Amino acid sequence: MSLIDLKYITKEYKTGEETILAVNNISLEIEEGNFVTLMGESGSGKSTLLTMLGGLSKPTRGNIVIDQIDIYKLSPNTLADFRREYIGFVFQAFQLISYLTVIENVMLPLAATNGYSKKEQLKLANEILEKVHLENKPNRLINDLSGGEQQRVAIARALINDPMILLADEPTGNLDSKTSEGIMNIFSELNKAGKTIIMVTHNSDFQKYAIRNIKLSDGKLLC
Amino acid sequence: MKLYNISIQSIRRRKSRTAFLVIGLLIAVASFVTLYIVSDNVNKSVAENLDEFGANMLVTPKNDGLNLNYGGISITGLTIENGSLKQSDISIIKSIKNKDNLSIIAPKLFNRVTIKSENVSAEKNVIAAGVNFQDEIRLKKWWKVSGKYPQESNEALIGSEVAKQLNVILNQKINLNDKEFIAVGILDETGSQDDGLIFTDLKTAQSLFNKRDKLSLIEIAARCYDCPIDEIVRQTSAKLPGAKVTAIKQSIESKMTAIHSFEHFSFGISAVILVISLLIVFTNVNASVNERTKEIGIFMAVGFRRWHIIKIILLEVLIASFVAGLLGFFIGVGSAKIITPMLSMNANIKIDFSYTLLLMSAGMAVLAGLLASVFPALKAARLDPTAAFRSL
Repeated sequence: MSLIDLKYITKEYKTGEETILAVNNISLEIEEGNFVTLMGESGSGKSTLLTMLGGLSKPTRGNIVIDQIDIYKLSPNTLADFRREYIGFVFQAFQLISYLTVIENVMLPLAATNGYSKKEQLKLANEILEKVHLENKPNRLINDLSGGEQQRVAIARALINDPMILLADEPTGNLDSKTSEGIMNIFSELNKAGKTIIMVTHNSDFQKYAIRNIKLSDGKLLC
Repeated sequence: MKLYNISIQSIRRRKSRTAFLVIGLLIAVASFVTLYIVSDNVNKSVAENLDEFGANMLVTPKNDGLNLNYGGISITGLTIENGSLKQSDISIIKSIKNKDNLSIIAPKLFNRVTIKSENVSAEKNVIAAGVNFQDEIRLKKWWKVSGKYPQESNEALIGSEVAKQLNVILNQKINLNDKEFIAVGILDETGSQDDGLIFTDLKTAQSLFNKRDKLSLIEIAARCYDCPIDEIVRQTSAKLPGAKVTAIKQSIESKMTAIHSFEHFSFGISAVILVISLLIVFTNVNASVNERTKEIGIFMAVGFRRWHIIKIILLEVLIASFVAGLLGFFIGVGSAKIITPMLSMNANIKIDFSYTLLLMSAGMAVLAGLLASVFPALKAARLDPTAAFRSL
């Protein structure tokens, strides 16, 4: 049984009088442990599909079933809990909280749970920072870091709850090629360790890291 | 990492935004505290001055006798012939529980006298009033006198009507019950019973009428701002069972109306300030929520519930409001200390540190802050994640 099952997903946006069809009747299954790249032109519906997968944007039609849970049938609170437990997000522009330090940003998802003591949170965050090679900068403010370092903080934050799925929206879009390779190597290692990764990218060079490459055009799957 | 850590770090590290929020509320709280203290003290000052402007209580003998309309009140128990109040009753009145509320005690002895003078063809009967001029002048601030107030035992003050009818002129010698007095002052017309009286020193009158230590009535000006006049009447009645103690309601009501008008004015201004402060906080928090769309999107992406987002925003406002409340209180007290002496008629007014007002200020700031932030916080929690993510 697949981990992710998208059934006839359609997403429409209304801008004034006009209705934009961002995702058009997509059905897709993704197995656990897969590394999928979503490619396509701007406006092809890649990011929209990713936010729907992440439980942040309800499809206009269709169902998204993850680990046998029809996620948009959950209440808003349960859906938030689902996101925290199942999904880790990494964005192109890092999306870190500027007034928090590196380690505080990493621990951010834990603030919404009561499952960890402060000591446990710090231990967990330090372990993950070590994985992304930021163990020496836990107390730096975000703006003191380079782009590559910021993205590694974002990855560490996405991993703190040990989610089943990592969703990355052009994670190397703001980085130089050398730093991008470093980030992709981290993703590759995470995938080898069993994480399911779905990554939106424009860079066809990164297809080599993926197990499955999906192309979208005008909101439809091409392959 | 807890939710409150996020709020605290946001306050600590976004200093200018926090300062803007704190200053907005601080100004409102400081204005409120200043206005509250100033109006309270000015009210007291006005009340004290009004309380000394005429009597608001009358003590008369209980037994019946001649009637006298005094101060608009018909005093049915006044016995001019046999004053049944005693000089010592003044000390008794001064011993009531609310003695500190008694501002002026003005005893009087009335008696019919026969007046003879050069300008009067025949003997005439008039009513003489023995008074303590010092107390009487304080009580009747509206009195205007041609000449001077009596200072010696043989000096008298003539009511305007008496002077007119008997052709008494200034510094004229007159005989009251065959004792010679000099009319050192003539009272300008007051429109009251005082126009028909001749005033002499109380002790002289008691001696002249052979009524040593006797009094006809006692007028009292009581400070009734922070004490109900009825309570003072009750206490005085209990101490003087043989006397009838009456509150001059008309006088009290007009004074209280004046004081309450000022209070209403102050409350009106305070209400306006409160509304303005609510708008400042609302605008500030609302703008902050709009600015933080991206941040709220991140919170949603990492699995925060709506309530978590509301809590973060409200906690920030709560901390900032509490600090604004405390600072506003101290600034307000400081401002009041400068402003009050300028507005108050009493320069000696002391402004005490009030823990109640401190708690009220902090409470009011927190309440206003939270009240104004509820809508923006709810708006933040209901933010469509897609909208937030369009900016990501």
